[in-house]
Amino acid sequence: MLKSSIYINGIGAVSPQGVGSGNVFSNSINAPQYEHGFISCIEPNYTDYITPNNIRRMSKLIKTSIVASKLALKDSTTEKPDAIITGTGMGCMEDTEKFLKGIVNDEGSPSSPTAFIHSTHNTISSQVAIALNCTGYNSTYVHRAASFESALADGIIQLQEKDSDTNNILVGGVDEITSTIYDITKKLNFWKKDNKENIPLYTSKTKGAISGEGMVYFSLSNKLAKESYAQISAVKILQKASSDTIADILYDFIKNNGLKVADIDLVVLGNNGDVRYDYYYKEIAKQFEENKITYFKELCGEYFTSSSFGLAFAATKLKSNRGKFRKAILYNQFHGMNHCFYLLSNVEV
Amino acid sequence: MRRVFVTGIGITSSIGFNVKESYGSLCTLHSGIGAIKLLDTKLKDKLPAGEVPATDTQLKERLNIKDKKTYSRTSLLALLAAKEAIDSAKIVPSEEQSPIGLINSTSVGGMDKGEVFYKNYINGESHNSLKNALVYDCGNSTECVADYIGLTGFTSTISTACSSSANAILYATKLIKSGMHEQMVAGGADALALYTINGFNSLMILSDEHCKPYDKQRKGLNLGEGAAYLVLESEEALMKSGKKPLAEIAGYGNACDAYHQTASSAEGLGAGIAMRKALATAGLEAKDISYINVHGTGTLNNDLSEGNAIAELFGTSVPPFSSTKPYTGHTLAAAGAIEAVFSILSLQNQVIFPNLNFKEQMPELDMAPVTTLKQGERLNHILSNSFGFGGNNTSLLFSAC
Repeated sequence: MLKSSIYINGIGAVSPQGVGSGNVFSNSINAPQYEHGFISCIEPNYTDYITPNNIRRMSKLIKTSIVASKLALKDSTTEKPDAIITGTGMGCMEDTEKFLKGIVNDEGSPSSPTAFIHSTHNTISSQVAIALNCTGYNSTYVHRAASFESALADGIIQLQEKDSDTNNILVGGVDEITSTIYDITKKLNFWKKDNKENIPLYTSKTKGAISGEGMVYFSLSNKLAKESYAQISAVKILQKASSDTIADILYDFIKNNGLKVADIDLVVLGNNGDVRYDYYYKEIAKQFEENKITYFKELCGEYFTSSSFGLAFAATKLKSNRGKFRKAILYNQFHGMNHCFYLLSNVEV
Repeated sequence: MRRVFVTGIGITSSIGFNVKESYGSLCTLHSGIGAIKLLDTKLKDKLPAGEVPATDTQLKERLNIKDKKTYSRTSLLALLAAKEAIDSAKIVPSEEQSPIGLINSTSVGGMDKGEVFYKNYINGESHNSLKNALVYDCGNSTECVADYIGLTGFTSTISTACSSSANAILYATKLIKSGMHEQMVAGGADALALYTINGFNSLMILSDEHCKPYDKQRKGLNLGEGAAYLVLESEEALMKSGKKPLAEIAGYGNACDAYHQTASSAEGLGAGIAMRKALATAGLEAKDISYINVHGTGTLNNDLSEGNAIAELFGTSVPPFSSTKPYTGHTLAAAGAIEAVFSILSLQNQVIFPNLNFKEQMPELDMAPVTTLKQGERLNHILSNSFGFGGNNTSLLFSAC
């Protein structure tokens, strides 16, 4: 259980469901199209957020991250955050590939540094800092499917530090998919072989998931506000766990937070339709009544920081069901690794 | 707030495969920078670098790795240093009651294997090297370290360019201070790669001579490779084991310059905030600092910006300072942890390692680095600076025990 209360006071998202704040997750949600094999984000109108010069120079991931961070701040009516922390599993793939291509073709020759500059993982957090003129704490986590959770865990410590003047922070989970990365990870058997049309993910019996992308930033605070979505009551991150013990881990997590399984009103699961690993979710689902369970990956696809989409999805459900849902659990894992549990509580504002 | 101590250190760089060799090189003014011999780059005759003098196969032999798994060079360097850190702290992961956590860091992770894969991929021959693609991401080297050492606690990976491992140490310190963990391993690793050498070359900040930080005639930085890790323990853990710590992590500060993606602001705004935060968290004043292990890359921009920030903070009484990058080259994500180990060696042995290659003072600054090995100093508190692209600035403060 967290030592003090942490609230989600704003959400900003660029996602396959659209660009915006909580509305992206609460509007009637559409099953996205994935004619290229993967689910892509709906891109924002960048001119509303970024100067024309930067729109030309920056890659999609940096631009969309800046948009999402600005939307989250606006949603929480915060002017400037005290810290910016980003989680990204793969970082800036578009620019990495661009620079790599130059090396393969002509190693050792002088080349333009633009793609290199924009390819480092921390460029996202620092470009957001430049866009917001924020000199506060700034960090980047790159830990596969626990990248976003790592960023969140760091943010929670910042907000809980005594005598610190950190009260409002931005924490984001961002990853982009490109045709090349999709193709390479498909060769690595990450994705379903034939995915030209929407498949019912949660009953799928085939190997692989559906690839996606998204950029979600949260404006977190140690103070409740009229904009608050929900309270983050606890987060648990495990590098590895066996499916035999996953239900016990869930029980301990709930018990250690002074609750019983019956107290949970909403369960959000990260099932991605990959028959090789979805049994972890089945073990968790078995512990709850079926009508409490909901899923999110058919809305955004699978990517290393997709749980940030899941967290926004769960928090928005709590906000729009104040009386109905009091406690929510979110559980996500990837390939049987990086198991993440969240306990969210509804708030009274 | 709880106090956090360093109980183990491990290091691998071009000046040594372990702490003992590294200390020997530091005291005999032996630099690891020279012609590139192992990395197959067309730049090898033009640009010197600090290469670890062992092939991947030789590194595996040192580590006694016999499995057929693909390891990135970054992972192999990380394993050597992390193993030494754990051994020197005399902690046995499986026997500890609360699991030991790991905060690793890297800037390009398994890029050395990623670029081999990508070349084959665009030539349509990727089926032979898919294993290389799997170790490309930054999280992979962390998983390798956790598996090899047997760490089962909280594990994560940071990437903030050249301040990565300083931030890993900072975060691990905070996890212990907050009471969430008792023992952590923290540090970072980066191997030389075509990607980084071509990247820094495209920025035109690599020197074709040995780097000379804080010198008027400085021409840029030399890249290096390596890894370093610290074992950090809470005061309570030390009371239980009765172990004598090597140093205390007394303060830390992280700030963002929020100025430019690759350049630091001329006045060193973020650098100044980071150093001030480190002093504030330690409850110390500028006059208490006995030595600064500066970031000092040897680029025109960094040394001016950092120098201005130091002048602003310390006024007319700037403490002795030096950059140890002329020994190792700039080891990117590993630099913060490598220089943390050097700072701890300075505290333990009461010695300041010189800023090699320095001749002429910068006209813009009223200060010059230490240029000879200074022994018998009284060093109590050392600041270690690590600044990264994107203005990711971190300053750590180590105190003698």
